[in-house]
Amino acid sequence: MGVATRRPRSPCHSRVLTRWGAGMLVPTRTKINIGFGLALTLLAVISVFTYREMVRSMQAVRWTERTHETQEEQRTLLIERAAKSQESARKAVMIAAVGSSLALLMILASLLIFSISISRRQQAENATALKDSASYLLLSRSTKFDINERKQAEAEMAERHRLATLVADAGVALSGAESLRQGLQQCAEILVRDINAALARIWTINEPDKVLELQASAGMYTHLEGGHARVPLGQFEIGRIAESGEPHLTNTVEQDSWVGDPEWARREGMVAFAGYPLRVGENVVGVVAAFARQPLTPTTLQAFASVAHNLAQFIKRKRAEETLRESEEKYRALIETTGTGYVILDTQGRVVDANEEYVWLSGHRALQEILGRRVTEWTAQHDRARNAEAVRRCAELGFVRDLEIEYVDGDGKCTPIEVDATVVPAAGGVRIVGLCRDITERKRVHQALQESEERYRDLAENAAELIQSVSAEGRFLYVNRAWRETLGYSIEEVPRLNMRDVIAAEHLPQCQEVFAKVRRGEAANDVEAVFVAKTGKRVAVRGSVNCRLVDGRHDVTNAIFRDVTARLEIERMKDEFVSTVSHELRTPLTSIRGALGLLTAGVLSAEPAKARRMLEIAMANTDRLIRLINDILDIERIESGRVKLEKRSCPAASLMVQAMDSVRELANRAGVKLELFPAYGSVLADPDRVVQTLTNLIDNAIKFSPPSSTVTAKATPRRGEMLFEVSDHGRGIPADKLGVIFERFQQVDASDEREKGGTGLGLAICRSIVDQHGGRIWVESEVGQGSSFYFTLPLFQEQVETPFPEASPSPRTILICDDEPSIRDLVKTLLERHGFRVLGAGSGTEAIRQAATCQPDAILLDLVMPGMDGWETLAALRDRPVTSEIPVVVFSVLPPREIDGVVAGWVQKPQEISAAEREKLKLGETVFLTKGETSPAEFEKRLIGLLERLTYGPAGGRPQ
Amino acid sequence: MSTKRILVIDDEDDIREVAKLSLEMLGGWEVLLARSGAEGLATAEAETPDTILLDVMMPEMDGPSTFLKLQENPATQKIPVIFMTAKMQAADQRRFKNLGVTSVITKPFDPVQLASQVSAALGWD
Repeated sequence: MGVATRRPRSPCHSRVLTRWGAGMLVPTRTKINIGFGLALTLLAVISVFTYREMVRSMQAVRWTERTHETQEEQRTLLIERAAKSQESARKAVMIAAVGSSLALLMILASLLIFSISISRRQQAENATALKDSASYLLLSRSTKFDINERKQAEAEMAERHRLATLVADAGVALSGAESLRQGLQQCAEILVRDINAALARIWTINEPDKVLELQASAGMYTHLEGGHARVPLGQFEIGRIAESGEPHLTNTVEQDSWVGDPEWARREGMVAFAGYPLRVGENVVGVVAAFARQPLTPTTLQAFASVAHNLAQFIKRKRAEETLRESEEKYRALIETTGTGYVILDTQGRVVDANEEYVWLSGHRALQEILGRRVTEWTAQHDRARNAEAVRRCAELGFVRDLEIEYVDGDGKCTPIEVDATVVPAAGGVRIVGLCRDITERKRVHQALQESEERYRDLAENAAELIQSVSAEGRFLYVNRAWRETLGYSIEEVPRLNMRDVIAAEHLPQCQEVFAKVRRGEAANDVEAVFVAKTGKRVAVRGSVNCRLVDGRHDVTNAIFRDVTARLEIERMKDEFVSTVSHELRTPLTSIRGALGLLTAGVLSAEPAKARRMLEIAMANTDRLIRLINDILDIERIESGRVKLEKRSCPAASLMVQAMDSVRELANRAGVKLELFPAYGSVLADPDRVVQTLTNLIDNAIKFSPPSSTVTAKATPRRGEMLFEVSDHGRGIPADKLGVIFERFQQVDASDEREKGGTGLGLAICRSIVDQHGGRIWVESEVGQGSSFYFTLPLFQEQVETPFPEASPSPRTILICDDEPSIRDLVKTLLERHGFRVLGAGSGTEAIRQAATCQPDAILLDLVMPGMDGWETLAALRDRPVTSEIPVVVFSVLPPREIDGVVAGWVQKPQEISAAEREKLKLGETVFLTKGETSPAEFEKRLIGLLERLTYGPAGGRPQ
Repeated sequence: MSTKRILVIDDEDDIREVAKLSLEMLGGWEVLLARSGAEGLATAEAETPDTILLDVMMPEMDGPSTFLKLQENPATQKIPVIFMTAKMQAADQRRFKNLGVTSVITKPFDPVQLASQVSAALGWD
């Protein structure tokens, strides 16, 4: 350790003196000079005035003495004038005295102004001023003491000056220090220099650790390590000062118990120690201490205390600055790492500052690129006005929240941004602080979520099932379109609905049980319920219900139901049908089984009449069963579409004749007359099925007609369709049965089935056939008057366009008149294969009527028929003008006979005829075909050849 | 078996005839016939048979309706009634029995066993 040597005056000190000499305090000096000047001027004026008055008084006295001897009379006047002069002199002296006093006061006032001026200068200047003041005081005082006193005073002044320099230099050092440690180190060095300390050190308190940390060391030790680098509070003299908060001063270090190492102090010649706590209010922030090899005067300690005070303030300020800086750094680091754009704008929307994230969000690379520019410059065109308005609104209201805009970069790429902005005060006004987040991902997720929601909503809306969401209170939150349409509620009405409003009252308890079940987290599938539509219609539903739980609490109950009303109805009808069919099948079976059972058991062996009756019952019911099964199978095949209709052009008359033929025997047995009024025209239909329909209707009509009454079959073309009508004069159908008469197993009277041999399916089959043809079927009836069944079939298109096709050679119509249905069928099939239309007539009478009505191209006539035979028929045809020209081909097993040229040809049935009979047949072209010698093919060839020549001949196809 | 009078109500003529023959020949009972529910009610009230064989499916007044009418009438309410039905489903059988009928015989029945079935149902020796 070396002895500290006194350093030369600091440049600062010299600088202060230089300032003083150079008149850096000119305003104060000027005031003083003016004060002195005014005082001196006033004294001079007073002196001149007094002198003039005194001279005047003296002249008056001298003038009085000169004239005293000569003019006694004037003596009194002179005495008065002398008295006046004396009075003037006295006033002059008084004025002089007052003026002098004023001058002195002005001088004192000048000094006072000077003193106040000094006290108001800043700390650094204060130091200078102190030095100046000290010099001034030294100077001023030096004029008042003698030489010894002057020397002592000079020493004191030097001491004061040195200490003033200490305070000033410390102030300058602390105010200019960039860091805590730098300022403290400079202060320590100034202490060493200005109080001639051997060692000066400064500690700061680490409050959390309760320890003093050495921050500065000057003088004999400059290192910051060692035993005193970290001193716990209460340890050593330093620790005790910090702990007690009181200074410790001594000029007898060796005897001081506080000094931890007296040996060191003695060895180093230390005499004095001064330690001051660095206090800010009640808090000790550090300790400054110094050792000196000479005693420290009270003045020195006073200055030391002043420095300690400044040190404490400095430490407080620096710590606050450090805290602020650390806070700023943390804040900045936070901002830079949050991934949020941070921007500061002025009220015009110009960028003042921004973090790196914001720079990138704005589509730039460096802060400098956007500083001073308006944010609207990188706002997408469609958002610019909105963004500018947001800036204006933020400046006005103080904040903007959740502003969504798009920024666009140099490549035109848009980035959606969400902005929250707040106004904060700043120097000269306010700033807008904006936090900007890139919401691209959020938008994408939102978009995806929205699309997903729309997709599911579309699915739900377009689903055929009834979908609903119901709140815990039972209110409808959502129902889909199928739900609304099925139950008849508008979308506006739904939110006002409660489950109780739509669930049938008797199903409420069951539904409440289901709700309770799903709330417990259990599944509820195949739930059945009945809803009540707005119209009151009941809708049976079946589906599944589930519950969404939020935090274990029931939130929403979702359900998907299918409208099973129609299905249940179908099931009911099916069950009913099965039940009915079961009954219908079992009823004849019961009779059969019973009858046969009794016969088999031999119970009736002794009762042949009863046994025969049982056999009849069995037989009748077997037939009934067969019909029933056929009809059931038939209707099922037709309705299921398994029967493929072979539609083609069918002459309506042909169809009707066939139907008539098939029921003729029945009509004969019932004594019912049949009338046929066929229309010319063809329908597009499956002929077998249409004949089946007509047969069913005519058959029914015959069954319900009284004997001798007439059943009429009629066809009428109209508006693209053919209307068929079958009328009877039977008992009629009650009005309440008209609507169901075409349903299965629906009969006007249950006994009809037994009495009339029906199955209860005939009309149902008719309806199915007509439906399959695209036609309609209905009945008009009056009880006691009879019934008329109608059905329509579409006309064959050619017939629709040319309803009267006589001018056309095709199609050719052949009327077959034969009482034997099988022959008619055979020939019909044969002719149809060659493109002929074929009408059938089972008697001569019918042939004549049909010929008149239908005007066939030719008539194929059998000779041997019951009632009117072929000859009679032929004669009748020739007698009538409308039929007289129609070629007739006799078609018989009988030999031809001479008839006057009215028969165009003669074709024998493929049966043997006698030579004698052949001999009789001389009319026209005669072909003899003999049974056993003529094949069906030969017969066909002959017949077709003959008919074609007849129907394709000149003059309308008829032979001349 | 003692001679009993039994009323068969069925809208099917053949079944009535077969049942009548079976019951007469094998049961030795006197058989009354009715072709409808209404006719059966009248006959039952007038003749008070020992039992009634009643068809279920009949037009206008079916078997259950006829049975209820029989029950309503003090003159006929004690007559045991046996349903004859072609309905085979268990639910139907249960429904009929719940009405209070004595028994149900399904169609087609065995004419040889018919009398025995009736006797067993009624506890006739």
